[in-house]
Amino acid sequence: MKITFFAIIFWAVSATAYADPQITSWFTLDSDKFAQLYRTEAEKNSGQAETTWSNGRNTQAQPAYCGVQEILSSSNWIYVRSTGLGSQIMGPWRNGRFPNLPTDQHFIFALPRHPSVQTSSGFNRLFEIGMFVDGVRMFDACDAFSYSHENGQDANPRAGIGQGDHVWNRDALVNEAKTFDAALAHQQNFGTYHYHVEPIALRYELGDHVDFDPVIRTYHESLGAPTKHSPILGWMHDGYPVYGPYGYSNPTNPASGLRRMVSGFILRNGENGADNLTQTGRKTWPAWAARETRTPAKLDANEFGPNVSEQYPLGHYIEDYAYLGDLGKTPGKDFDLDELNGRWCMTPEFPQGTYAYFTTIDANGKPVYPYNMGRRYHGNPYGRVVSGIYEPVTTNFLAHAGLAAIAPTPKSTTLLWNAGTGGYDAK
Amino acid sequence: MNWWRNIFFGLGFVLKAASAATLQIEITPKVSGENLQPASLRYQTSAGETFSITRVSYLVSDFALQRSDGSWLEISNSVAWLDFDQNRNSIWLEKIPPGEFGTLRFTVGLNTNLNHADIAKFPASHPLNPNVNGLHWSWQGGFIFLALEGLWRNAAGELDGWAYHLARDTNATRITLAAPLVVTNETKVELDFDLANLLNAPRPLSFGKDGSSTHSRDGDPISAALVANLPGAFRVHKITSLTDSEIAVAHPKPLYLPEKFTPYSFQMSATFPMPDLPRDNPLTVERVELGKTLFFDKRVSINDAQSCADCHAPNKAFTDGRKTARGAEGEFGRRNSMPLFNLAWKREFFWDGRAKSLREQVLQPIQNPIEMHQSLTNLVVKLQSEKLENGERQTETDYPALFTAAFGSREITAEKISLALENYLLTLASFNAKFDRVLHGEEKFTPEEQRGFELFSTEYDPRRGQFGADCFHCHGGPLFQSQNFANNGLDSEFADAGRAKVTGKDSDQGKFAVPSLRNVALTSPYMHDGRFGTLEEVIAHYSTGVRRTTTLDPNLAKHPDGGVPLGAADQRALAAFLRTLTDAQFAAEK
Repeated sequence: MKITFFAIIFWAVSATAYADPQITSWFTLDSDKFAQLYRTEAEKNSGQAETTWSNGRNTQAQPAYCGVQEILSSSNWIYVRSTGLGSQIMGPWRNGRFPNLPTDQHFIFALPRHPSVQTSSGFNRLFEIGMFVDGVRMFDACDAFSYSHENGQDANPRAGIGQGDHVWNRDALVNEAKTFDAALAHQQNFGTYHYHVEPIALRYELGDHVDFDPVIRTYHESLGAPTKHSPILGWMHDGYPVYGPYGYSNPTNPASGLRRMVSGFILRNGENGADNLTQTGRKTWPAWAARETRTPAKLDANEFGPNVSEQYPLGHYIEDYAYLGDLGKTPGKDFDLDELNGRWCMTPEFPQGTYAYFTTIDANGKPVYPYNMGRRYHGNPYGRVVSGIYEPVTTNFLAHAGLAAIAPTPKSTTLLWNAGTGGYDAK
Repeated sequence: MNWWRNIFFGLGFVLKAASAATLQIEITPKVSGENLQPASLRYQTSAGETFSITRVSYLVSDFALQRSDGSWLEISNSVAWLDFDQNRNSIWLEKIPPGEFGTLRFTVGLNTNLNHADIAKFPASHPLNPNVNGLHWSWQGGFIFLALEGLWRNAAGELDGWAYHLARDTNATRITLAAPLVVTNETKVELDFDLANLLNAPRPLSFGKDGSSTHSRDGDPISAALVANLPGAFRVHKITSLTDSEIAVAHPKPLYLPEKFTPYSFQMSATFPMPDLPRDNPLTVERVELGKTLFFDKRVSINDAQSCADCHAPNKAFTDGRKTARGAEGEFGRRNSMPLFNLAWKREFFWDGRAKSLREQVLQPIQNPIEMHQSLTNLVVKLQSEKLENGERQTETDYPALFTAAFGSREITAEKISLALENYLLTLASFNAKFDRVLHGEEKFTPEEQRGFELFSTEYDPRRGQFGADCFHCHGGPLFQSQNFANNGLDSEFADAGRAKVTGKDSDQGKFAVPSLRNVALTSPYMHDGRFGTLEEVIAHYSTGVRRTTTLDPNLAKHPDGGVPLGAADQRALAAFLRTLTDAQFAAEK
């Protein structure tokens, strides 16, 4: 009943006052539901979801709501208040052995309303790069670690090696997928739930060509060809949208049919014009990495990565990928997306065209590098989590009173003096 | 004396016969081995900054003793709130089986279960009752494990505040100390808690370099340093045996309880902590009725001109709308009439806290020459003479009958008057403001009120990206008050010494009781002297008007000169939020 009520508000907002996708794209149908998770496979198999949890490190002592709680706007900014928790049932992560659990992050994300193209192209510090429309954070394609040449192994806090050289940077999917839940998300040590790759559970909720198997509680790409353009899955810090994998075949012709967007990145395995790291060793950088960091592609000996091996397979580091645009191929003809993983195109929400990122999957429906964004933003990344709102705003959506995580409590207590004990009894 | 002490001592007495001993752990804050001199700017950080310490308040829990065979005796439910200012320095561990132990272990802070327990369920005397310890982290859940506050002189030579609040599950810190103990009888272990160590070793802290405040948000380097330094800050000082004379008495018996009485149903919000209602003056319908009658009776004053309600009018949350109180004979006092509600959660009364109980408090305005100016003897005679005259009652109020119902005899005394008024005043509970209804999901904040609430409950700490109005430190929790006395920066020189008049301490100059902000929109004008007419003026004071003196509260002193910078829209939002604390139903009741 309540869900319908909020859905109506949302519809009214989107249909009348605003046609701005930055306001209308947010997923709010579950905003008044408590977030839930499974801690173990056993809980998942028996359908025993929890609304409060603790593992000593991360505690959710009282239920918290799912994702987006409030959307506010001014002339230059959209503010989205979110718990950061997914609306699908989250978890389990490594059957309860992953040390972190998600918690209510109650943050306000500010998104620039008027994206502007970065004029000085160059390397952007990446980490948190955007926000998905269900209010869950988007992290970049890397995990926090890279190869340490001096130590001859990947950085590893347990081995006392900080974060490595940042020359050969680990791919988050390759190295962390074992800690992802069925939605392909996990959380860092402070409890921030996030995706590094395609948000498959969100895509299912948005009807983006994904099926859910209720028996084994997993998601997979639907069979057959997509019948509609993918929806907006999220927004990068630069204010440009991120779409699901399916766009128009011809970027400027909505009648040109649909296809899965093909990224410009390929493994450096000797095929398609790429060099072969298995033969040469990891002694050079791909051209795109050299260009974006403005350093030579030829590495010094103390920057060499480990030889390709079972322990360090091709794809272990993002620098194991080459960009087809550097190999004589043409974006828009031989492949779809530029080295930032986007393109200028028309979309259902932007009939006049926009720069748009696309989440990338392979022909089997598995996430493929660079997942959501390359190593740089197209626009100026002014979006960020802010501590408060310091300008007049319009409320576009309010899930409930906004006092997240306060469970229903009885309203009053009565105390009565008890002559027997000489004390007061609570009722 | 507090109930918890009685309980512990009482148990100790019983258990002695059962041959299990009580172990008292006494922890004394020290600085470099010397006794702590509170509020004295005599200490130096390793960076050479001069500082003082005004508050040391913390929670310890999960005590355990290691036996000679290496196994641990875990002492269940061992938790204590220790506070330098309140002289709370001990925990009594019960039922320790006689034996030899080599190591003492405990935690500064609480385990996850305790830290997130339902605070409204702790008994009135429990160390984790937020009304007892004042360490509950308001609406965010969880407790402050350790609150250290004081003043320091910054690089420019100006006095600044510092406030280190250690909290969050992951910061609970285990302390392990070698303590050779032979427990046969009541035993006492004296520990030193050296604050110089805590701020210095192994990770030296500097207020200038590392920051003058921490609220233990994720990744905060100050809280990490405190956690690193805590284990080395505790030392065993002495181990002794307790004497029997320290074992105290049982609960007081109810005073003047009549044979027939009706227990009064005291209603309070389920989110409030358990109050410490008096056991010797049980709340009964009859006593409350008598107290209420007295409260509204003008004959309590010397000239029958004024009742208590004249300065404490229910529709103004029991205030009078005047800058300072006006007495029965027209004289004005020096201070603003205080609102009367949720008094069951207060320990000290009047702006300067000179009365330790309501029964002690109520007799003072009656006798004060510039207030009701009535001698107690005269008052008793007056109430008795309301009896028969020419076979008829002078008035409708039959006090002897009311006293009989309340206390079991017709005798009227000043003590009984005070007990009846105490009973009535304790029943004034206010918990049905819009804020409460929002809390229970029955109403919604406007966006402006929501913003105000956010400002109210967020600290001002630019170094950590927090730009709130920092109100909750003093006015936090479901009662929107604390038990403290604070100098909120009204003046550079104190026309009224306030709390210092009661304690005689210079460090209490200019301090007054921190009032509740519930019903604050009804209680204008504001401050102990009624100097501010509107909420807007009050908020502006905290934004631009705060004056720096040596007794300025550290939670204000840590802010820029003048106060927390707040824009006009935020000031309006804060006022809008404060207006949601008005309990119209309470104000309408008679």
